[in-house]
Amino acid sequence: MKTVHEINLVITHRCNLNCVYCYEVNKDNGEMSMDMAKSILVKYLSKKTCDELAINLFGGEPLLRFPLIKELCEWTWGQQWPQKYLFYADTNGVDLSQEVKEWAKGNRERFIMLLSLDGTPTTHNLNRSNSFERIDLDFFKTYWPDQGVKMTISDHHLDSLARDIIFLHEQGFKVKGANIAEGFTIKDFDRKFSIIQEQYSILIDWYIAHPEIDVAQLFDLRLSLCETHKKERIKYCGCGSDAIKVIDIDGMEYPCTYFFPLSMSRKELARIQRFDLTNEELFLDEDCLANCYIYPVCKGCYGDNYSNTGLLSRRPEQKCKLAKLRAVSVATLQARRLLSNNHQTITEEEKNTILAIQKIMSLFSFPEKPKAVKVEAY
Amino acid sequence: MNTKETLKALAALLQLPVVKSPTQEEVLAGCGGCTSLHHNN
Repeated sequence: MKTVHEINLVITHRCNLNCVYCYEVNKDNGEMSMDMAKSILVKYLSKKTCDELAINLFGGEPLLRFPLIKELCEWTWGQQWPQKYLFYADTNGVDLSQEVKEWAKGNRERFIMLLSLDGTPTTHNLNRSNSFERIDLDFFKTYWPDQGVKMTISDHHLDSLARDIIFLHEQGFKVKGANIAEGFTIKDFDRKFSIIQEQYSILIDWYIAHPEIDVAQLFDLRLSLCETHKKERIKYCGCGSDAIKVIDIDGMEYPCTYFFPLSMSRKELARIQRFDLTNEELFLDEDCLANCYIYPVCKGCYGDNYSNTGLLSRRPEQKCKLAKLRAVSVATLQARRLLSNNHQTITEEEKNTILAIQKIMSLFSFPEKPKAVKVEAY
Repeated sequence: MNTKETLKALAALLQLPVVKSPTQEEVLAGCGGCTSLHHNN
């Protein structure tokens, strides 16, 4: 088992966009100094603690600090370290200069850029400050073809969710993120649920018609885990452990980008910091563990849980319903893909997947949507 | 194919011989997927 830990180095609080769902509500002009950045890397790279350390340059928009990035990376690459590592940058990709592109292209094996892209120009512009035309999509596609894009789903474009994901596939991108939990509020839930149900059904039909496409992360659930990891006490995110850290411009460490001064008031953060977040039991929902079959694939956000229910472990009932809809949709898709092949044998993984599909389909069902939607329209 | 027919067809698949799954390198990543999914690179 390869272990990958992650440090998110917040090198700037500044951003050149103002996205509708941005959770970093306390952004300012703060910046990390070069000395601070180097001292953090010395601390994390001088001792091997995992197989690979992902050093994620984060913001704000990290590429606004390109001179720091260039110097920091080249300084790091110029030395030998006990800890194996790789640099990443989460970027909005907006207005990248030729200098930035040339440098990033030349270092693409050791500096990985992850682009945020939310779908069609209409959706992306609605979510992300009219920035679609300011991104060189070919640059990202050409030099990091396997990295994919991070898509965030907001309340504002639920009715084009399928079209947005399909658009990204058609552009040749792998689709990561695409997470309903982010940027989605539970207000007016029943109406939103119906829309999402309809959109999932469009996506299922599209993926059936395109078996060569790897499904978006939204539909990428390993259902066999429901059979092989029944009632296992799984904490699915490294939040609170050494596996993931967010390091602010002043060198202070936080458990994740949600429990972090840019995203939360100091008062609320102080309340969270009274908990011992290294205690995994705080994150486990005993009721779900004991009673819910899909617990092993039910990945939400502990921060999102906390903001909705006041508990790290407890997700709101609306998102529980969404998780079940997602599981049923994935089960439907995987069943149809499995049955479209001519099998002479099945693998252990397929056997457990089939058992899980059977169970999920028998446990959860949702009324069919009355409105008919033509897949051809997409 | 409706749900009942799907379940019936899946049950038939379960009657086939079961072979070992190909080995894949598993990655235990710190991030739960909320930030960047770097481990998938």
